[in-house]
Amino acid sequence: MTMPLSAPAVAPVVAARTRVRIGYLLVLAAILAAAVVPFLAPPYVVQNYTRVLIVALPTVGLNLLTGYGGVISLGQSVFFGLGAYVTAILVADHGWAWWQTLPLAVALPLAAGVLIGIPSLRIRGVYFAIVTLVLAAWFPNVIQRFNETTGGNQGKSLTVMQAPGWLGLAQDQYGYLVSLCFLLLVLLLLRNLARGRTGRALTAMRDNEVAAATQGVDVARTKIYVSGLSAAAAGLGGCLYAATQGIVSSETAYFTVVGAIEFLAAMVIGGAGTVLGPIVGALVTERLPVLLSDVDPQLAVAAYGVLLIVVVRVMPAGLVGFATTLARRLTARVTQHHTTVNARNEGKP
Amino acid sequence: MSRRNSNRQLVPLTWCLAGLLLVAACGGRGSDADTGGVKNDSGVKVAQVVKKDDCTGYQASPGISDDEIKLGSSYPDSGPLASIGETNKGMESYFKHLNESGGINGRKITLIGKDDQYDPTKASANVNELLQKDRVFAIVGVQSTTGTMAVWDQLARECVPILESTISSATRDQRAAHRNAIDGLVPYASEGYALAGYLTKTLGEKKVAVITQDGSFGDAAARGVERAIEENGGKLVAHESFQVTDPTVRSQVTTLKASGADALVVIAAGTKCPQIFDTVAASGWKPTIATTFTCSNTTLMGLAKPASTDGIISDGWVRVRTADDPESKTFLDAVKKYAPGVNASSENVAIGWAQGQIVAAILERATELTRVGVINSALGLDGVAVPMAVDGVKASTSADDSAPIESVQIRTFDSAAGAWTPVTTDALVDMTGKLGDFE
Repeated sequence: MTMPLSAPAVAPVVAARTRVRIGYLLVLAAILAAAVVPFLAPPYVVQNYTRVLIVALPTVGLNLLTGYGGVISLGQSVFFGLGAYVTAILVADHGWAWWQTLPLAVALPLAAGVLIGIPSLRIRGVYFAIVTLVLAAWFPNVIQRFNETTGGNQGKSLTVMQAPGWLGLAQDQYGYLVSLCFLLLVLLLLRNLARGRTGRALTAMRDNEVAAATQGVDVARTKIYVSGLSAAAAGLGGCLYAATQGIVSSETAYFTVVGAIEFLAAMVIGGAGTVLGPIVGALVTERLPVLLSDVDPQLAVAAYGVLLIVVVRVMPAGLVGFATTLARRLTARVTQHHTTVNARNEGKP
Repeated sequence: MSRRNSNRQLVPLTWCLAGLLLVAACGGRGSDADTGGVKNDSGVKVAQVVKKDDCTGYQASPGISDDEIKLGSSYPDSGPLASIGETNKGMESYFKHLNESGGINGRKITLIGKDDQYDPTKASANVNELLQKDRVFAIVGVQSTTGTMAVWDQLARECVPILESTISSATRDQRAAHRNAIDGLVPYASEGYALAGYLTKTLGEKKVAVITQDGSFGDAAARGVERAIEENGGKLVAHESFQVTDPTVRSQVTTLKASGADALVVIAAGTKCPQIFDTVAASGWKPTIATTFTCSNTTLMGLAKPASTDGIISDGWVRVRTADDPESKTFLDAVKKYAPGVNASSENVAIGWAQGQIVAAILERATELTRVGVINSALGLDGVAVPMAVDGVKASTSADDSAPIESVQIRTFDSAAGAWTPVTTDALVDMTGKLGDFE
């Protein structure tokens, strides 16, 4: 026997379903739009957006560690750089194909991430952030110290990834599409992870570590596991960066503290703890300063800073968090209206 | 249930990837057509070192019209190294000044500049945008070696000229593989050679120590220093290096002092320069100090204590600006008019002005304003006068020599006056054709 639900009880369920459907449609539309960009835009625009996709990868990793897990790290540029240098050195000096370097470019940062995750068990909050900041500041010096292997500040050049002949794609189109595929794959993994046991454990740990441990969450294992995964995502980004840009150097901003801050800013602007936040954040941090700089390079820095403060102040949940809240309110209102109208119509003789 | 959920998530993704492949199969992009050459009235016949057939996807003359030559540049205009970007303000001022007097054979120069914050990734993005969106004819004045190197493979293949850009630490082999790139500075190795040569040969200092900034700049300059010391029977008694991020250089200076050196070559840049000078003075060590032009900016020298910098030796190829010099007056008036916010006394601005003069000479001497024509013109400079250069310094290049300026004037710093003075009026060190010897 089924009990008929009253109009007000049905409304939230319908609203949630509508939201999910609209969400799916929007994501689908966004993916399709992203897929056609390289066929409509000139090569320099495609290259610009390839960097957005690549910057999103370390941001996705950081989002897992910081956004979901609450462990503030400023060392993401180190793992990004590690991945990039593994690929650059193996391709340029040892004749590997870029895709052959991929397992190592992911595994080495993963191992480094696990190692760095261990002190996070004892060093917490801002103190762990400082430890990772020191690592980020130190990394370009390491590149410089081993300049015979890394090329130092002059950099190491490598052949960029080329599309197989049968695809008929230009190099920039291929680089973009490969980066897009990897990003989608990583996002899907993150989504499943965030919605599963690990995601719940992370969120519990972020909100209250002691309470999470009491509920059976293995805090130590989860922290180390997520720290490794976060670094692996950055390493993947680094590998794609080297393979699409063709040069890595100690002067590359992404391998310095500037890069570490950009990844963190992208996560915060996009929305920490949201699946799509890192992409939106990467788009803003990667493209907005350039667009502002075209107007006035000196004022651009100040304008960008002010904008960041405004976003963080007005939208603490980031752009995606803000958009989700808006969508929730809007669909709830529309569904409520429709349900009320339908109920009124059904009540008519 | 969970499997159904994952399947549901995979459906849109699969559709997208399938769509992606479909679009990819129909995709591909043709290259832009060759726009054809443009004759230049006062061209000079030069050797055809680079030929059109050597180029891939060659476009002859985009950015050239009957009344305009469009050039593009990438340089730091914001961030901690923005002072280097002053060079491009000097170059832009020169082009505007030149345009007032008719430009180059009736064509005015338009310089489109983009900020790269000294980041090679941004420099590469800027150059691609300049070439594809702004359709500039050539790239000029890229102010970082890594920035230039981030694009020079691609631009060498396409035969796009990269004029008066920093490639000063590049080896002879690297230069030979990129004949489209012309140096904007004196090669660092040549500069090191000139300074150490002056110390060991002219001043007779035999025990020399050197402190270098880690990286390609320091390594290249140190090669020239070592060569000059060896040629003149001196001895390199100590060599220390530092990183830009090192908080102090005290340990390096202590080691160098302990070597008993009579002279010290400082190969550094930025605020490390005054820090080194002050540390040496504070240690009680009094060697004869020679330093690269990267330390010679009067603003930087002024940051050290006057007693630490008095009598320091350096070098330069751009003339010392004085009130009674007509070229200096033209320069100062033009900078005041076209770049009023820029510090005209900065060495970088004057270098940019001189680089602009060399770019103009290359364009003017090209028999036709095609990219290949301009590259060949750039490789065929034969003692071309550069008004802003020190008297006697001329621009010369060849198929094997992409450094137009290889002569420098030795100067000393007068800390009381806050200015550099040539050691003698004709003290030029000419190193033309010697670059290969420093490797």
